[in-house]
Amino acid sequence: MTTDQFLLLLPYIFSALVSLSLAGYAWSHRKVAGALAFVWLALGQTINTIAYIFEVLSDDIDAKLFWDDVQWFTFFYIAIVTLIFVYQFVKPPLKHPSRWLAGLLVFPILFLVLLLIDRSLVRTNESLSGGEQFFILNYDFTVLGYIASLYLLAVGILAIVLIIWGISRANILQRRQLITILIGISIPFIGGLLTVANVTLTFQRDISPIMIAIGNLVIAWGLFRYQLFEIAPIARTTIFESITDPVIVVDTVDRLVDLNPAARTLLNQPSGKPLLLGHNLRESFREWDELSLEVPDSGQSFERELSLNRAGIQRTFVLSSSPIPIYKNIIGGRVVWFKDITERKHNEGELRQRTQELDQARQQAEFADEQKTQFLSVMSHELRTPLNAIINFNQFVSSGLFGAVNKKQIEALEKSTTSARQLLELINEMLDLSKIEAGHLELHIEPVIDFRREIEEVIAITHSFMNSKSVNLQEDIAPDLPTFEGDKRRIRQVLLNLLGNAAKYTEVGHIRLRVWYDNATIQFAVSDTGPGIPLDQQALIFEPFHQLNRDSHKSGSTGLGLPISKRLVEAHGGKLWLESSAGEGSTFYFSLPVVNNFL
Amino acid sequence: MSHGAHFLYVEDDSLSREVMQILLNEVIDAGSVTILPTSDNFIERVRQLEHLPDFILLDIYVEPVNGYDLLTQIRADSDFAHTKVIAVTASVMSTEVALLKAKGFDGAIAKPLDFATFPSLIHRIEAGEVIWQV
Repeated sequence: MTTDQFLLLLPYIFSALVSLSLAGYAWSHRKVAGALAFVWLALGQTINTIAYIFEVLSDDIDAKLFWDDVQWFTFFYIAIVTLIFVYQFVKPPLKHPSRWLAGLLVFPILFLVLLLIDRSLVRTNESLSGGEQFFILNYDFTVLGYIASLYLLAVGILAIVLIIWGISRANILQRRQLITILIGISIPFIGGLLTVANVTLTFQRDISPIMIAIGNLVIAWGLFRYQLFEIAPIARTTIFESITDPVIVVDTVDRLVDLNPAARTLLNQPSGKPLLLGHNLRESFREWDELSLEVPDSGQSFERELSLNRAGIQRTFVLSSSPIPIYKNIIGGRVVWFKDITERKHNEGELRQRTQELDQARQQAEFADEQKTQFLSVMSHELRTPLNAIINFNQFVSSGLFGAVNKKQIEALEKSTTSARQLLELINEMLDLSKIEAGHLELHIEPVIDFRREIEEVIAITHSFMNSKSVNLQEDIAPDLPTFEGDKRRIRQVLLNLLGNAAKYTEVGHIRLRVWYDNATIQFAVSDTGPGIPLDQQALIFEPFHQLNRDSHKSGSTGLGLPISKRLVEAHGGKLWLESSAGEGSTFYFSLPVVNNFL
Repeated sequence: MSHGAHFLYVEDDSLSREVMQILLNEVIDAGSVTILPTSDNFIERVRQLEHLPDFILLDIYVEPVNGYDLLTQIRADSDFAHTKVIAVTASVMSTEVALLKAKGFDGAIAKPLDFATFPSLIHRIEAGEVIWQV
């Protein structure tokens, strides 16, 4: 080989070296999926390039044909291995990949056998022509040669299609890597096409070996740039080292295989001290028994709880032993993980205690509510009997049943009666509120057939509240009120409360009750010409006891009536609200659905 | 009309008895008013009355037989087929009212009784209406 020849072949020699080094590098990382296929790919390409160099260097036709045959071998080899390489990267869902591979191999084997039997089946018109530095081998393809070229073309296209399919499904990091590999694989493919199309370098040399090397560099760049091969084992090691729980790996006869820093501490192995890897844990470590590392069957997953004293503090661990399958059903050893559950246990205990305390508090509160309702209920009952006597005897006297009475006496007796009724109202309201708040309010929903009569009664009672006031009580009740569903007694109570309030607070003018039917609801409106309620008080008057710190003594009311009314209406699925402004009087509205779907 | 109707009332509280006596005699103008402080030998004693009652008013917590059981005895006796039985009660808890309805009272009137509305309630019950003025 002359210097000129060497210089002309230098790109090819360089290409072969590149492919060989890449194969070597990938071999050292062969445990990662895809790497081994790349090793075989790069090796095949190296041989292909070397065969090419030898072909160029040979100066008799038989030697040249031999090296050309070797190149044919390697072309098929490279095509198939490229496909396997791509397959391992994109993992298409094939049920029987080995059958596909066998199918793909049929033609190459047939072709190569034919090639070995008779070269003329592939090539015709072989001749040598003289070039500037080398003899050049010329030949034409037979039909079989063209079919072989088409086969290689098809496998190349298949590999490219597979990668594109993989790219369409990959995440961003994988996608960038796959695109790089796609480019790396496409370059030799294009080189092959150019060779078939007779595109050659200026000195009539094949372009494809150089394209292969460039392609390999691109593939390798893709692999190393994204470093997926390298990251995984480093990441695994980092994770293993940084686990704060002790983790120990032993083989099937309990020899120490690996342990993380936390486990070193547990086994009293300072980090400076060389690891006692390979030593039998059972014999070499007195901690064996203390840590109860013995398990019934090292081939089975196993968990037990144990308590250990670490740095003077008692801590609770779950010892979890999991077998490591090395190949199929063969167990190579086991991982023993000491999960520190001290905090969790502590928290669980705290939580249990809190829950118990809350439960107890809730039960106590419920019991207290129950007691309160019970007490108020008894009070209501016990008060009614004496009040029956007070109110009725007052009325007997004031009505003149027991002899003539004068106006002053009548007024005094009426005040006494009103006070007695207020007393009853107070206890009833407290009882209602207590029941509402304890969730014990029961509505007796039934069809309310003739509510007009109830309204008339409530109006009659309201009249009696107004005594001698010069207030006009008007009513405007729609004649066609439908039957509706509700608790008649409770609705009557709400109406009486609203009219009673109006009567209580209105000194001059009028009180007006309107009742009408609209949009599947019965609508009530109680308007008065009283002092009105300022905007900032409007939400407050529906809060229980809001009046107690203000002017309850003046109004003679507990302020419980409105909160109870609002809740009673809401329990019917209705709404209660007011429109008012200071000095303009008030209108309280409430609406009740005709059909009660609420309960 | 309740004018001239015959009333029977069972009640253990003396003031309540007195109030009812006045209401029935002076306000309603009943034909006769009989008031029993206990439910001892109830049916027997009622049979001995000159007039069988048109209205029986029952306090629920009477001794020795309570109002519910008295109602059962009355309903079992064909002599009282046309008698209206009304509970007069100080218990207005909705559960107790529901029980009164379920037991088959013709109505219930809550204490304190109302001087103004009591006559019309009796009148309405007499007319066949079922009243739950509680």
